[in-house]
Amino acid sequence: MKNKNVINYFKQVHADKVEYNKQMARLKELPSDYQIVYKEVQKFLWEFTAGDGMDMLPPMLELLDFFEEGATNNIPVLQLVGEDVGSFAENTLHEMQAKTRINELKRKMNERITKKINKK
Amino acid sequence: MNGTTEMLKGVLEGVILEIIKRHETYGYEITNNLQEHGFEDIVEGTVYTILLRLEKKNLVTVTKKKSTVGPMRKFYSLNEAGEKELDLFWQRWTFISGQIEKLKEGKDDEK
Repeated sequence: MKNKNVINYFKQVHADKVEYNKQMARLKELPSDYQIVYKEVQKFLWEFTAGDGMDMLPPMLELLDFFEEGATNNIPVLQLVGEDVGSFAENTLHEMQAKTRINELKRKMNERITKKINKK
Repeated sequence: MNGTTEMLKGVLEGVILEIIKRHETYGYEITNNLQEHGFEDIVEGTVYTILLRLEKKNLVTVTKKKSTVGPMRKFYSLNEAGEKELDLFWQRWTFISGQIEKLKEGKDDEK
């Protein structure tokens, strides 16, 4: 039984990977400026991932939807997200449902404080 | 007016809820609406992140529809929780703007 779970796990990982590659192919269809910005934002988001990062994928694909719409409307990418792409990436990270290192740090910090203060 | 973005940040969520309340709309249209109201600095990226938040807080109903050109487009409408949140927003706004106006007029000294 345990073996089967392992096999299912790898099957799932493989399926996820196929799906991920399929979605990322959409990126190559975008104008090159869009690709540059998307990759930078993606890099930023990955920096803050907690756990295996699988929960980061849906918001990243959603971001791709957003970029595709912008490109279709012929909006220059820096006009779409603003000149300050770092702030855009930070805001996006903040509003995503994914587990992030910063949220985990904050949660643990509050837990420690509550524990220590209640001890007194 | 330029340079309003930072100041607008805290109230943008409520403002966007109000825009959505008027009729079902999408990100690009919301951004244009804000720009037409004089908030020239607002970019779609800012609206996008607020829409993520409204969705996460379950204040809006999202429908994906095909647009005339290109990919599917997300349309937003207000749900019941969104209506309630918008009411609260206007209450808070009345309080804050009232207090700030008093401060500006120096009326806060008269106790």
